[in-house]
Amino acid sequence: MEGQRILSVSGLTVAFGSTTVVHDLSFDIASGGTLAIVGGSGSGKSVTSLAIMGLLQEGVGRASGSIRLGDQELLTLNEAAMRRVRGGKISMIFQEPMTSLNPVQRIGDQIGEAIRIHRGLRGAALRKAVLEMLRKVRIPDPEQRIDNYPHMFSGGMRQRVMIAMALACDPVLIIADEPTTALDVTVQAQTLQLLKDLQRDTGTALLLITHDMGVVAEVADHVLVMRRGREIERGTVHEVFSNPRDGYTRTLIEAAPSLVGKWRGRPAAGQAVDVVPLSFRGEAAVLEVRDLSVRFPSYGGLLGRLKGEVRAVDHVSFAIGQGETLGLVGESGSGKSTIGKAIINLVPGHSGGVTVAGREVDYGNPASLGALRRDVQMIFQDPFGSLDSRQTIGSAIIEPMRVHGLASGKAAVSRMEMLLERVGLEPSRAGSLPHEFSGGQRQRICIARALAMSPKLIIADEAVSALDVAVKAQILDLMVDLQKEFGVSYLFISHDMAAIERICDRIAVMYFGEIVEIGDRDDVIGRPGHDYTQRLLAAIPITHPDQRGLRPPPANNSVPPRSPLRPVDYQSPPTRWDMMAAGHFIRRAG
Amino acid sequence: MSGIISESPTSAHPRNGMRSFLSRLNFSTQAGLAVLLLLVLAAIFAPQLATHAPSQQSLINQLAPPGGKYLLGADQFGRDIWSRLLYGARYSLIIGFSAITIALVLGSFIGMVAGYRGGAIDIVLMQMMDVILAFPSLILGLALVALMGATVTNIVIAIAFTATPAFARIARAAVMAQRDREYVQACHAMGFSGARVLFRHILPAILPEIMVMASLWMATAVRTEASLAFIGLGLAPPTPTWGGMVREGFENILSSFHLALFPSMAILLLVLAFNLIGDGLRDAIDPRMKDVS
Amino acid sequence: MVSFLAKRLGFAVITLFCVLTLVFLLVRILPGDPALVILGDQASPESLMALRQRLGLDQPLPVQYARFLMQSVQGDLGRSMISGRPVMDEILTVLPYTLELTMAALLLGALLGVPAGVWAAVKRGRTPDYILRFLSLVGLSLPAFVAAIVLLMVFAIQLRWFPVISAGGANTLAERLRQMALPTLALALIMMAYITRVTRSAMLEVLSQDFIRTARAKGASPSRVIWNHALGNCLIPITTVVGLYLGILIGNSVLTEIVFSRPGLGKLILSALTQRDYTLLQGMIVIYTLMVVVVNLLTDLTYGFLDPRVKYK
Repeated sequence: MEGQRILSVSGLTVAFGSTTVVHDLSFDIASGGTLAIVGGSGSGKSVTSLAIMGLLQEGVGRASGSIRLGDQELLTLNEAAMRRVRGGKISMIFQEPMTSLNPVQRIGDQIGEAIRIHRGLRGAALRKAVLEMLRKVRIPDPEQRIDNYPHMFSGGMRQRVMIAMALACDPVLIIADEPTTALDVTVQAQTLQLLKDLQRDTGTALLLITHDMGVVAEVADHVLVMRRGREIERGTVHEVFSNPRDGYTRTLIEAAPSLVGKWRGRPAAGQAVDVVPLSFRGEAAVLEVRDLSVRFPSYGGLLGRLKGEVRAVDHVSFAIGQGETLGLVGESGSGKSTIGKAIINLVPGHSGGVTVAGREVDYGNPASLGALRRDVQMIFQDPFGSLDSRQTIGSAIIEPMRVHGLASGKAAVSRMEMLLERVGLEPSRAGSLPHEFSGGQRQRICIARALAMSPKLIIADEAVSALDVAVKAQILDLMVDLQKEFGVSYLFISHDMAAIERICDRIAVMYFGEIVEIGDRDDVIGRPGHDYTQRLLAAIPITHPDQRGLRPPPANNSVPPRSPLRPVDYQSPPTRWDMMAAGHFIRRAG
Repeated sequence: MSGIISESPTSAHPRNGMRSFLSRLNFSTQAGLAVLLLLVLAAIFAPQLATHAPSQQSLINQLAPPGGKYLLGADQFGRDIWSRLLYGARYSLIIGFSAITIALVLGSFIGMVAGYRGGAIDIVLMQMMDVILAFPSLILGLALVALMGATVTNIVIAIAFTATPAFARIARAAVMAQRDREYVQACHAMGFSGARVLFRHILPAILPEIMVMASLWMATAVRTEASLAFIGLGLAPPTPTWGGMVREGFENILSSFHLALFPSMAILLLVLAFNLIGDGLRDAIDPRMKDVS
Repeated sequence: MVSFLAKRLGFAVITLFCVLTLVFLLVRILPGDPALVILGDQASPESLMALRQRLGLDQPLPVQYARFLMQSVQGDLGRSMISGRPVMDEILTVLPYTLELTMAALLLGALLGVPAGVWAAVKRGRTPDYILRFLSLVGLSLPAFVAAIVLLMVFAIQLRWFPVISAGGANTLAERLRQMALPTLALALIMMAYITRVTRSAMLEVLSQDFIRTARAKGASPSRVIWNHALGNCLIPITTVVGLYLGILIGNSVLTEIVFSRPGLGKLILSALTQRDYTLLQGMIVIYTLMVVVVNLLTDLTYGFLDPRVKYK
């Protein structure tokens, strides 16, 4: 299946000023083959791809060594000759489909530009070629979409446009830099499948840059693991996955979601129930949420009349027991984060009942709200953004205690120092500012700040999603340890199935503002009942190349996405639920 | 689902401390500060530096050329231009500083409240600001001074009035950019009061932007004051104002152009100093522009 | 689109209404009696009374206000207290001179400023960038009357290339252009400084964005990347700034017209000020503001043509 050598890199070294970011890197790619370069942030993997494209910032980045495309040495090529290579022989797909397209040009013109530059087509022939590309990447209604602007496309569709652009001139090599990282997991699976199909049809070589071992297991033939600018391991995909030699590689492999083995088959037919009881583990519920809805008014028309409501969250009910962790999983826009914010009153327009530690929260009553803010704390996704960059970390941990009158003076300082120690930081660093800490350390600071209030519940909103895989695992372990010590409960909101699976006792699956399935972790992951849960789980990349083909290809979503916009007086149809097992409920369609 | 956060601490970040702050400033700001300092000193020590009383007339020395007894020459009444320039600096600086201080405090407060509270308060406050912005600022200043009378207080009020909306807008935009940041949400989640969040946490974050604006608007204020005086709406003669000196010099432009030239250059120098400071500060606080300066 | 237009028009109408109210109040709170100003200290009480009656000043304030609003909406800004001619006629006589001057200055400023800004951004951090940045900073520090006086001294008095006074009397187009050249240049230099700066910073912002990298990865040439991909995305901030600084340009035109003794709104407002012709002053402020409001409206409309993402909501 593999043909002749397309690209060979040898002794590649890239430096920015006096800092060397890629050291003596060598690899080959054969036609039709797929090489994955894997590494965390700062590993030099993206810089390598830019060096191959000759896109290092002029006068700032310097590449030395050798990059040969067929018989052509790219590093010594002048700019004009390099331009004929770019987009013609080597093309590139970038991570961020939202920002990688020119917002003021029609997508047809943007795809057409590459064809015009390298194939010299004009006019009707050009349009025909662009339409053909759009069909190839399976964009529906190409005749109409060709004249649309990027903002009219979803993230997944934009990435298809990028792929069309990359394939437009029959390149011998495509470099895909984290092509699916910014996409939702179901879209990610479809995009990977498309990329694989197109590569098979055209015989193009693919250089895949990623941090996600799941994606590697799915598509790569060869793997090269990088860390801090150096190669630390390489081999065929089977060698690397079956017998990783380096500890870092093992961490990367372990960090990928390992759900395939957990699937135990479809559940037996459920038993219809009218009302889902609020179930939880333990003796008392720390949090009860009943019929929570969040609606944003939507205005439109000539005079800005109320057109309808966006139901970001629609009649959601669940409970969390003491010391229990409930995972709230769903894709972007599913309303999962809105639920967390609604509970602590950070979004307007929420209705329904919330009970914390047995007390019904009265959102209009300052005293009740004050009690809520002591009992429930939140940890956010971006540990840098959620700390005030001008406040020392010690002061950040003490401030909430002082504001709520929980502790002051020496008592507050000693509690702050105790907490820093408990989350694994030196108490002597209390006087430092947030920027002096790494991302993982900052998240530890945020956890310490949350614990300062002795909360009963911590809402963690994508709390580990922005962290490197190895750090992610440490933070999750820390959260589990602290839960045992402080007896706190977690509402763990994430799109990351691996993290959810690792930390949660029970899981609720969100889809378009509604919970479609809720139950014990092993039930939801092992015997998913709802279509969407099954789709979500099927889309998660495999963890070993041996599993290729073992799982059903991700089904295309047959149900078109629903608009969450509803007329003002819209009444949701009565929901029907099936009980699959004790505490495991799925929502019936209809 | 943003990118992965780097595991190494970000080092290039402002640390507190005046000295390290000054040493980090770029050339543009340092040059502007130096010129400004020079002009402020000249204004303070005007009595010591002046060679003549600013309003002392001398019939035999009318339109004396620069050099000799009159360092920069004398005007049509035989008054020493150098001495008048020194005293004139006082009016430009005092009027500019007072007007911009008022506009900064008032405008920032309006903008912060509007941006933080949103809703109807925002709409009403900003519509008021937009009405003021709808006037060409020089025309509005000119009308206000003409109607109220040309005194220091009235000129300060007129300039402050035209500058306030600019501060309201920048403060509002800055607050709105901060409002949805996670650290502000974290403050709300911990139950901090609105005033605490706004003044303890958001204000320090947006202060650099407001200070840049203040510096750039100081330049505008000085220019506006000079323009009003040039039109004839400055402090009444014989008060030495730079704009007024250009106005008087302009009447004799065909014979003695130095009369208009020196005060013109003084105005340009002061305005440029404030613009250099503001421009340099903006580059210093804007991380995107860091590698440029 | 239609609802966006309606909304913007609504805002413009509210703004104009507030402006009219503000102008009315401003002129009414001023110290001194207009009748006394017009007729002088020696006037008899009877003639003063008669004049007040003629000007409607004897009516209660709300009545005066209502009448002022009604007349303004119909385009009647009253009569000049000095010449007795309708204010609208006085303004319309000289308006073309000011419009011609400001439009020429705007055009010239944009034609010079946009390429200069693009060049500075492309040469970022190198000598041309530093020189252009400094020059543009000097340009926007320059009070318009200083710019005008310096041009006058050099090109009209020393070199004698252009007339010192640009007032009327031009029969040929060449003569007319010669008269316009210096005042236009004085305004254009300042406008150019603003446009250079905003173009440079918008360009730098856009050049650092992902889609520029995409364009380069396609093999597009540097000039194509800059003019085709980057500049199109800079047009919105440039338009915003041009719209914003048109108010400054209009204010500056007053100063330039005074320096060059050129007919126009500037000279008219100056005579209104010195002669304390309050109706004329009031009418002129309304017209000036109307110009700014119309420009803002046009700027908003332009966004729709420049950026497909602006959905006119």
